[in-house]
Amino acid sequence: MLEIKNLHVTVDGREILKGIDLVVPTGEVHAIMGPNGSGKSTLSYTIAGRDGYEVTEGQILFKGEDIVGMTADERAARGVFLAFQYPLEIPGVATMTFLKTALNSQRKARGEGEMSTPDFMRLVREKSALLKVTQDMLKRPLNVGFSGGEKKRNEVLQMALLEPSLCVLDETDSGLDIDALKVVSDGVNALRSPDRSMIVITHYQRLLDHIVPDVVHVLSKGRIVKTGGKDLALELEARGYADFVEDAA
Amino acid sequence: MAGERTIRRTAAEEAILERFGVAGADLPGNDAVAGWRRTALDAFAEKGLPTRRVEAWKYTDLKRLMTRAAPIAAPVADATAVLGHDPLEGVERHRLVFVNGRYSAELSDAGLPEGVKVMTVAEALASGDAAIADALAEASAGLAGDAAVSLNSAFLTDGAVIRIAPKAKIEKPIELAGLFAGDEAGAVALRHLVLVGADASADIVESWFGPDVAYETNALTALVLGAGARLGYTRLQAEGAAAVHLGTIAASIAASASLELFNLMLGAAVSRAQLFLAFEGEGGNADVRGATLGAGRQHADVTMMVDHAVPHCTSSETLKAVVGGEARAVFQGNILVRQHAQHTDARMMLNALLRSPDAEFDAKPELEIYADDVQCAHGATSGALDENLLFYLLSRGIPRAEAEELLIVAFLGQVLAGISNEAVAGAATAMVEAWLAAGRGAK
Repeated sequence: MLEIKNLHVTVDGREILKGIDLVVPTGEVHAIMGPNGSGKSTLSYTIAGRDGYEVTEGQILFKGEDIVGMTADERAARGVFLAFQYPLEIPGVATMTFLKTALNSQRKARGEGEMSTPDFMRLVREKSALLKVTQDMLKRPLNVGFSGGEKKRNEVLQMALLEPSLCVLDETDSGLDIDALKVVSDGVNALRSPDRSMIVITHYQRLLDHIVPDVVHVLSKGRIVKTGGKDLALELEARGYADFVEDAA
Repeated sequence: MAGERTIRRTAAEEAILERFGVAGADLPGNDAVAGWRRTALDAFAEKGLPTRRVEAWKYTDLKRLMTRAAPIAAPVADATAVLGHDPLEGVERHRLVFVNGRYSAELSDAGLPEGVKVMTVAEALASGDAAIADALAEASAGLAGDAAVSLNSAFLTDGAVIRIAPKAKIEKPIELAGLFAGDEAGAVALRHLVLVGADASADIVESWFGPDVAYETNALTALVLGAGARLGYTRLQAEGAAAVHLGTIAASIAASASLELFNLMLGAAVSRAQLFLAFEGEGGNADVRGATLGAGRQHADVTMMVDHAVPHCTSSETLKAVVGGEARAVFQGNILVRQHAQHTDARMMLNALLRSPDAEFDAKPELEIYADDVQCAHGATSGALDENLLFYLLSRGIPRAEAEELLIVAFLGQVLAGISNEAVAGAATAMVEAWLAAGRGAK
């Protein structure tokens, strides 16, 4: 699904990612853990195609195709989805309008017809029930006045609607209490499928109790310094990042 | 002669004076009307087109911007041929249509509801109706020093006098459409008078459309709200790309009356909307909102003067501009709170979205407060679209152009929401969206 080769990324003239190699096979869930400033968010933005994240070297192969030169919307239409650490509030854009525009933009880019409003409404109702996203939330401007938990549920709802092949979850647990974490994790787990890969970026191990990864990578100073099974997360939790950071130095 | 100043006139000024010389005698009205036309023209001849040295015209140097002036627009033989695309299509309304400065009975919908009386200005002036002539003169009396108003007084050919009976509730909006037709440059001057009786309620849309011909529009609309009246007044200025549009609203708001004024500016090469609001009785309210859209080398000026002359009135002004290319948007707002106008609540907010490095936004909010127990505030901001918001939309597969359009419509949403008639609000939003879809919202 995803193959990142020797990825170097510069932001504002500063190199943040210094040669990342990462392979995420189809159907697998990989966790990327690392201390603050290790480059976790940079990696997620770079995969999603944010402007200003300049790839100076290396490749990002998604379904065998190098997506480095593509814009964020082109990547999204091909099946890349980034769940934001801090979903943005957009006053004046109704959540429903946003969801419909996003879905139909992607369909259009893929040469599929636009979804009719009744079909869309049906789809949203079905997907939102699972995530406890209320009709009231859908009518409100996008994320405006939403609690932290509501915002994250809304992110997962978007994921469920857009059905991406690769989900990158950036610090999805941040700002969530334990109940909200459970709802969001259940939503994510419901989307696990043999056709879909996920990258779960987190600072803490606790999210990985809920979304259990197949593989755990440790990111430090812009490089992946260790890769292991799900037990690696527990090890990290017990020992802290210090050992790994030193390993890398 | 010793001591006489040599007045250097621009080509446009010469052409305007010549216009009066050629056609002045044929303009409608009795001797009294001819008298005030002459006085207005003399005032114009004395001062000429305003330059940036005139404070109220600081950012709109009309002497420089108006390089020529056309003769009075010729009438159109077949008015029905000029009706092309109707941006208010689908809005159920009564229509009063003026083509090239003349009322068109064919294009208008005469079936006005009970409680509404309409007379054309040309009719009133031709019949020597002294009351109307006086009311028309009264509409501009306090604004005699303004060049645009002087030109309107000198050249007005027609307009509508709309009288809404006390307590009448007019369901469908009334449209005052100003159309220009033909390939020849021409000048149009209309003056409307809207008298809303006590406790009456109505919605009026003033619309301006035309082809890409170098024509000029000068309009003055006097709004007189009786006690407890409510008027929703929406101006939609979508003139042709080469037009010069000068539009003035002079509103007088009686006790407990409420004016909801919306002003959309998206057409014309050079345009200026002048909004003069005066509170005449306690408990009055004015909600002024506007959207200015500018692209290419457009110049659009909104200048407001709100006169809180009496206590216990509220006014709120929210204006937003989206400016790209080398376009320039101007907002001047002056809120005057006179000494007796205690418990005034006045707020003004000006926001601009700049789409290119060469776009310009000039804001001059002013509060002039002589009362000591009031609440007044003003603010102005300008900036670009938020890149974080854009990335969020892009990351969901929405292409950049569409994402930008979505954010611009959201930015304007707050002011568009000020149009209380839903159908009219829908039409105004559609005009904004069409403007954006045509790529004019692009950098």
